[in-house]
Amino acid sequence: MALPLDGVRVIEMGYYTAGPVAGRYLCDLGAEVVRIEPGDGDPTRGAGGRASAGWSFLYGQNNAGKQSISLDLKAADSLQTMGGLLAQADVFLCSFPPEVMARLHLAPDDCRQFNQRLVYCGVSGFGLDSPPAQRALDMAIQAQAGMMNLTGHDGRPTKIGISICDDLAAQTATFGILAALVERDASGCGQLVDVAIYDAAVWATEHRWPSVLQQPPFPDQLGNSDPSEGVEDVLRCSDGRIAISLPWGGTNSQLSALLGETDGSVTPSEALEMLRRWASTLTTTRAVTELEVAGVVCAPVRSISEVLDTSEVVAGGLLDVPEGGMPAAINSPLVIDGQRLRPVGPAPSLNEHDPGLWGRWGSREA
Amino acid sequence: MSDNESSPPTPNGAGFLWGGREGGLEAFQALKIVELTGERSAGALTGRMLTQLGASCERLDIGDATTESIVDDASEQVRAWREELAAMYGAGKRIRQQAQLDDLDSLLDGADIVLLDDMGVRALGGSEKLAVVSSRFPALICCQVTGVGEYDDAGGSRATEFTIQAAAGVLGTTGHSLQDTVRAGFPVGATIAALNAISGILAALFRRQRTGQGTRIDTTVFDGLFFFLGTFITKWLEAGIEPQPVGNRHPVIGPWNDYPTADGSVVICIATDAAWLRLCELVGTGPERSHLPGWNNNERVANQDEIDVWISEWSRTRTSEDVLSQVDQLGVPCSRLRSLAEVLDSEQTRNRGLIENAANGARIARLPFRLRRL
Repeated sequence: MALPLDGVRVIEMGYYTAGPVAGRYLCDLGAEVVRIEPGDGDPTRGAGGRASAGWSFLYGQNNAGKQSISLDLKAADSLQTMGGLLAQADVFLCSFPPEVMARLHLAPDDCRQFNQRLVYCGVSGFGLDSPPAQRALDMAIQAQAGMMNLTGHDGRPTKIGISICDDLAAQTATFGILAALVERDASGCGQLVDVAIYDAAVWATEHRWPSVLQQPPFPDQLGNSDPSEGVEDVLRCSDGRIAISLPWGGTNSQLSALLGETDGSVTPSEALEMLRRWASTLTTTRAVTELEVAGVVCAPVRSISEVLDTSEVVAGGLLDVPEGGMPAAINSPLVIDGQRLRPVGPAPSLNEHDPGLWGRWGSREA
Repeated sequence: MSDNESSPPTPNGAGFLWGGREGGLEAFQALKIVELTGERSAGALTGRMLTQLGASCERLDIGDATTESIVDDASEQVRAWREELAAMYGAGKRIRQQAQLDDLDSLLDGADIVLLDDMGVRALGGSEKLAVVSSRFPALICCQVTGVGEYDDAGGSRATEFTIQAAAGVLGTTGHSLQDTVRAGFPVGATIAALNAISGILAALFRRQRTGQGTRIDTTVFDGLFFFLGTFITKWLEAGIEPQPVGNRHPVIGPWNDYPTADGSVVICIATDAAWLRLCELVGTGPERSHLPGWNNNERVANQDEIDVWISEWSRTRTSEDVLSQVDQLGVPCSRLRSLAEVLDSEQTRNRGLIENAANGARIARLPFRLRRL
């Protein structure tokens, strides 16, 4: 299948999640993504144990389908090599701190000399113009952007389990790069995209802004509820838990009947309390079945192994698990023209595409 | 939320771009979007982001049951929040009241992008109808961003942000114990889905500029959340170990946690061996913990209980400011735990120009990146 970014060339420099996941999105959309790694490789290759001979599942997930070139960026001739690559690239995606890129002579203004139509995307903690000392990792940004204070109950700030700030920054970089490519093709001019993980995190909390700025404000921590949507919480069953959402607007007749209420006057908050007692003696499966019949929106609180067995994952093609082996990666959340996007291959071994890449791209004097 | 004296200034003016190109990007000025969504869904957020890029957007009012059903049992406080959200998500859009979909061809006449959520798909008569629309308008970009798509294990089209967080494993992996997991404190699923949708749309626009060809895009809240569960999934697939909530730790990198101080708590994140060695030197290991500096990442993750006790003994005798100052000097990421109101009123947020006042009076988030000519 022809993909939207077929023919687009991306050079990527960066470790861990934010930059590499943005590169993964572009790769899944059809771009040719070449990672530049140091001689001993990206440290993420070993983070969390080695699923394959050369990399961890985390590395495999973030870099599936890409190519790898090893380059010592401190060597005298490396800048010339990078310049040769950037001259033929559409996008330069880098997630090292801005001062590191400046030391390598690969800051935005440096790269313009190589390619005036280049889309340069810098992903950093606090922006390309931030003070050099500012360092960022996912949870520090979750704390600084207010996310941890919004999550949890009983007063204890809680980190969202997934690395949400890195993930949002990766998505933001993808968004910014694609907008820049569209603009570049219309204007003919290269573009600079500045992605700060902090900005992406604050942006994502927008839904909660009215709740803390209005008078009187809601507390930051709302536990499992979102009052803007209705009355919500977790019900404990005999063998598990159920998440339940009751919209504002009263209970319907089926739910009233389930609760033994005949006059239909029970409010959502009252219904929730009645449902806690009702669910406590039932299995999760039985409770979900009866609630669905009663028109109540609910879902079991699933463990990871249970999630992997769902039809959304299996029939939806989100994960291809080969016989007796580990999957290369989770597939893309995008379906294009009826086809689930999948990586074109596993993550690359270190320097796997040297010298083949030079043959195709036509540079680097060996 | 209305403007008042405490409203943060917007130093970059009304637009999000550098370089004086206020009002959006040149390439988006002539684009027309038709939106069949509810007032506050991931689809509605996607549409608003496209207007922030410079496109024009018309939302077809097909009846928002979730808004209309609000009655006496919601407080004034809740109503104010919902009304503000409707203004925020609707900023920059034109609303066509009581749109009739039986003449879809005329509604889509001249449109470049049609955007649907669960409500839009239902109003249209199912996602297969979108395929028909797509074939009638070959240059049209059709994007549906729904809760769970056609699969109904998670409650089908009636699923909510909360139930999808539960069904997709996010609720089960956030919190301090298995019996006490908690949802993310903002609609993380809808936010991720909106970003996926807009990336699909922009990639399709890029292709259309070159080929004239339209594209059909389908993404869901469930799929977006699942894509980011890799660090948890790996434990199950590699070792058959059911992942547990990790509290304030990271599943595969460490040490990460919040640590008590004399006047509160701070978070500290170590991701490299070099940062770890600097922290060991600052905190001091002494003879009884002389083995700590030699631990690599995987050893640190496996032994984080011991590490947390050691760091906590040091941090709880110092103020948060003192701890942050010393750790920050090492180049190690750390932070105080800030409230959202503090964040929105902070110099950092103002300096980055993250909030803008929309023409309809709503205070909304600027697009989360900056852009200018290289």
